[in-house]
Amino acid sequence: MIIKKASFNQLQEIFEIFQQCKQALNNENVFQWTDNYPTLDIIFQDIANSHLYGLYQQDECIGAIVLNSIQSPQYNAILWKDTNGKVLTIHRLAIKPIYQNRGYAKKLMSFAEKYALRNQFTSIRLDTYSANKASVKLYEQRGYEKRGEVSFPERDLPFICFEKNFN
Amino acid sequence: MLEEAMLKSDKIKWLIGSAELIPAGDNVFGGAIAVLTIHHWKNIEKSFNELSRVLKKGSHVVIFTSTPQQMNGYWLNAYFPKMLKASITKMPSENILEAAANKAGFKLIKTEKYCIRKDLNDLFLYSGKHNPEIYFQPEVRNGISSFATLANQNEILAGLNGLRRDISTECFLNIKQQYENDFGDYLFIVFKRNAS
Repeated sequence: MIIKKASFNQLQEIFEIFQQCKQALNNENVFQWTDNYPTLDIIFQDIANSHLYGLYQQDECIGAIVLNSIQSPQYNAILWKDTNGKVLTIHRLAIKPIYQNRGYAKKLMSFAEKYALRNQFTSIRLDTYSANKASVKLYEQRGYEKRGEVSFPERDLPFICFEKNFN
Repeated sequence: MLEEAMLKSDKIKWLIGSAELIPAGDNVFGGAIAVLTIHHWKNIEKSFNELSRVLKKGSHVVIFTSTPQQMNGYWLNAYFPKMLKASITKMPSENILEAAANKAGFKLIKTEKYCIRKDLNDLFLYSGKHNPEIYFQPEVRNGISSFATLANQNEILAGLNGLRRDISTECFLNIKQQYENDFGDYLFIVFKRNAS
């Protein structure tokens, strides 16, 4: 199993992972991702900007994670600990539903943390939907600390902002 | 579908295939058109590579599609929001097509927007833009992939009820007005296969 930058050739295959994950979450009444998110175009931008990494089992992409430094404006209202450092942000972590609960998300998170250290980032920021218990648990277990909550349009519940500091 | 096409002309040799796997040799065609189909392509990059393989150098590909921006601008969103969003999220944007085309050795030559006319009779997604009554016909909805594959029945019923309620009132005119824009309904995108 390897983790590598996704190529354009896999655009629709990877987009399909997000569609499946959205459906699986909706089936559990977790409405984290809205009907119009993520779009094929968002995933295209992620791949085109080399921000999207895929977890591959042979040729099949079974999970994805987006690493960059793009922060939503809502993050400005959060009291982060790392205010002067180089901040990595994580977005759109997803594992194909049939491969979930096997520790693959941990593999991608551990890749992200190593990536952060290797590239001199001083902290990682991310957010997840408060109703998505599995992902909240994943980040807590990995030592991410809750810094506050933000709201995104069309979602009833808040998103929890997490930070992991390396200093 | 192939049988229907054959009825239109027996001079043309009709082949069945997919964009990703075109049953033809290399450098054999002088041009390609793809009308309201790219959202069904399973692998856009592979499809453009395949077009590049079968087309003669210097030939054109004309794609006719609706962009996410154009689809967002259609009043039908007011009645079937979930269905349209599901369609729009998976609709390849112009950027995606251009990137795939460039990688496969094509250049974007031009784009031209197209606006639905009142006498349109193709019965696809925008067919009821000026004649919303046709959306009440199940056979018309069955021919529109958004309705046929992406919508749930509750939303269709609610949307049709809302449309029926509004259709002859000022409310419908207001909604249509809110959605008026300059993006056009569809877009022609012309690519040219590089000569070398």
